[in-house]
Amino acid sequence: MRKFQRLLALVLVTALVLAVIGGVSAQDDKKVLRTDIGPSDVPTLDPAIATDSSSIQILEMTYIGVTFIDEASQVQPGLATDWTVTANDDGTTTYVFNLIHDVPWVKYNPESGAVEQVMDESGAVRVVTAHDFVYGWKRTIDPATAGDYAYLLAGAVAGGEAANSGEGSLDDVGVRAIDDYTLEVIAPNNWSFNPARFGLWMARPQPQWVIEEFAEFWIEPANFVSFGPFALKEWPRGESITIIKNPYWPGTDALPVPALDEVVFYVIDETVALARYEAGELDRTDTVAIAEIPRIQADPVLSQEFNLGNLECTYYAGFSVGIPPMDNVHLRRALSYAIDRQDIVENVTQGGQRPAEFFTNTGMNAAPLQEDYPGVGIGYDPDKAQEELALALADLGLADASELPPITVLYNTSSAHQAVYEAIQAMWADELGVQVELTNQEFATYLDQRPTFPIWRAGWCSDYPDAHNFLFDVFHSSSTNNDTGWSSEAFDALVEQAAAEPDLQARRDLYAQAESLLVSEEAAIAPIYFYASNELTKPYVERTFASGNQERFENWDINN
Amino acid sequence: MGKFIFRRFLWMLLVLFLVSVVTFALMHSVPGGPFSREKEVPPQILEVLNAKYNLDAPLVQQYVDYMSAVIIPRVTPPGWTRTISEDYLLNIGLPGDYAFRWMNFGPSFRERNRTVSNMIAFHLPVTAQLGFAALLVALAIGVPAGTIAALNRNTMYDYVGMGIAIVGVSVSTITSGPLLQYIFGVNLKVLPISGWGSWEFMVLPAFALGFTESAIIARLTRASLLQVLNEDYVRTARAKGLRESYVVVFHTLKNALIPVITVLGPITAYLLTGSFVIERIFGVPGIGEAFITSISNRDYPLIMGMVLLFAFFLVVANTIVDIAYAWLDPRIRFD
Repeated sequence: MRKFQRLLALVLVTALVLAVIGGVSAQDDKKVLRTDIGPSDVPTLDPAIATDSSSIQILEMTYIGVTFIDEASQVQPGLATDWTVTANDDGTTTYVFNLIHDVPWVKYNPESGAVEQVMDESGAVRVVTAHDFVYGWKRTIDPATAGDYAYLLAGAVAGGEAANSGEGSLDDVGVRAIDDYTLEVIAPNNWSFNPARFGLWMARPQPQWVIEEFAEFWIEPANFVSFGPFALKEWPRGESITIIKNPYWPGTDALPVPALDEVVFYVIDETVALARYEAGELDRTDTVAIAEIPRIQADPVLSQEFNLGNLECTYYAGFSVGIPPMDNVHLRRALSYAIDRQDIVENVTQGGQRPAEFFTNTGMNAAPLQEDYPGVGIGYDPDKAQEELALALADLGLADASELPPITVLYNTSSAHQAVYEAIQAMWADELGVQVELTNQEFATYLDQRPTFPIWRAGWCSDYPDAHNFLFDVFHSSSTNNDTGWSSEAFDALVEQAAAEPDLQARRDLYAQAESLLVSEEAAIAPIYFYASNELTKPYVERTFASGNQERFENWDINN
Repeated sequence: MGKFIFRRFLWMLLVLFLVSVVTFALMHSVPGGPFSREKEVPPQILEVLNAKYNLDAPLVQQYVDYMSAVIIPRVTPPGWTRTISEDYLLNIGLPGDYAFRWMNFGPSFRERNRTVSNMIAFHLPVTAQLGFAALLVALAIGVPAGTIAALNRNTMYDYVGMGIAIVGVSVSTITSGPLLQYIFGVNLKVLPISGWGSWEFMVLPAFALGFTESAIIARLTRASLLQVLNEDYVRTARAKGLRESYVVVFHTLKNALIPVITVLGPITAYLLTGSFVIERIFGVPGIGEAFITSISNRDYPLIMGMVLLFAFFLVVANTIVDIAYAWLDPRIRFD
């Protein structure tokens, strides 16, 4: 017993010492925001090849394009102070961007502990010029770079698509530096959201001298240079990534000098993030596990720190219109009408999602809203579902829904998708008597296999906040993102017309007509819900909430 | 002994060869490729990517190219710098700025600015440290617990000890990990919840990982000690008037540990290559994450690198186990 007491005393003393050490090291005057960035390491910091939201988040803070998207999903001047737009006779449009002068390239020096300006061979400060843009854009479009997202920029610049597919030359791409601070871009069209696309992450200036010296390794902390409001400080792989305030960033109205000194993004699972948040080790969580939401909402403290918002993604079921019986439009419509979306978001997903009658996420510029276009989208309607089923059965010459050929629904393995599709399976059985089988596959297999299944789960998230990114980029007949096998000349014409239409309300009307074709008349997909973002923030953090998928930390602050 | 090790070495080469062929064939036969995305990569870009990563070559050619890059060492001249397609795991400096370099596992497909050799070099030591700490925990708890239980068979000590062992084996780390985090990190705030960098970070994951293994070791130690305690030579030792503690430590434990040593081989290999679950729960930047996600990402070079590495550790650990047998029991011979 005596021995046990001694042991207990030792344990307690050790614990006390640890607590003191921990407490002391947490004391610091610097404003360091601690948050999380998901369970997997940030894959790259190369603007030309970044594809995932964690890479893009860091790029948004360290690299700025001619424009950028603010928290309200509006286009704002980035490195360009202003620009002129000139319509050309051949249908192209010339944009001339005037860039901010003397923004230096910077790099964090771990020895001095400071962000320092980068010098060239002659000892002069390297500043960001229009030539860096031209190099960056052409490197992104260059097929040899093999950027997944090059097509977004290539489609926005004259000669871009030809160069990206290897048929044309990079020399013919419509981007050039008139002088060090004037960038001229020729777009193949007059689309109103072109300036938004010119500011996307793959369209940033890129440091030619670093990339040529270090090739793929140019993004390593020892080599990585940047110029935005923050610079890269540390990146212990798989553990965390830290960005530090760039004192040389001049600050603009839209992109101020950050109030935060540093932001640490821990590479951790959402469950771990929540535990650390509750223990006071994180100031904000990127996302909360859906299973935790009821507990958080019931907690008097956490519920005050909890925020639900829109995430610019849409969850939908795709129908392979080439596979019987899904080639029958009435059957597709019957199935879509029979999905009680409200029931799904209230009782299944329970994470603040909103029922979707349209495919285009409500956060998109020019997105038609359900309340403005009642009856145009497709929602839960048991009577119409019955009517459509009767028509479908008549078409197919069947007496009863039980005679339908077997229908298998595919989703990628996940308990969340399983719950949604089990609910839908039950709705179809109860409302229509249509029996479907559910099957799930691991993600890469599912992506490969889904065009061969009659019905499959899908989701689409925005790259830039315009309805074009949903309707044109997914369902225009030239898109490679459409696995339904459905295409329509009328739909193509509508989304092409909408892209070229300058008036916002007129665009909304056109997109509403396109939606009507896609989800109601032809019912190539059944939209189910709009995703929700959910996060926790400590009360001492002063912040903005971005409606897009990237936060703007230069507008955040910590009140000590 | 030398002959034994040589023969084991040849076996290892055969095992690694078979493992590499089977893994290569399996990963290429699964649907979906490294560039399958919800947002599809345009066909012309996919073509460039396939050419860049040699994925447009015939499969046999791809296998031969990959394995030769891994197997064939190279002496590099002064001024050589690593590139994305040529980066070695083992680098030994030679006089005159030459270097002997071996095992080039190629570029990762998911992290396109990183090589698999770099990932292994960075993340494996983390996992190995954690694994070693967990192994110490497992032995420090398992062997004494098993011994005490065996010596006090059918008493309270035995039941409590083995009861804990059953709990240890049955409760998976996915439960014990968050529980430890909650008690020591969130509630008592004496240990960090997750992360890596100093010894404090290692305590909870090492304990969570080691406790499960300690339960296996405790049960094995107990069973095997009980058997040995009934041997004639133990009776002789006791008859000689030796102290009980001396009998246990010097006459029985050494012989009783043979089955324990047997399981230590795979346990060590498992701990060294990481527990994905524990690493994820405790935010440890180890190799476990790479091991698991390489498969869902179809990151072919990473899958190959990880599987070869695991097979290598398994074979080496088992060889060491076999050598340890001879030390523990001189009756075991290597012929």
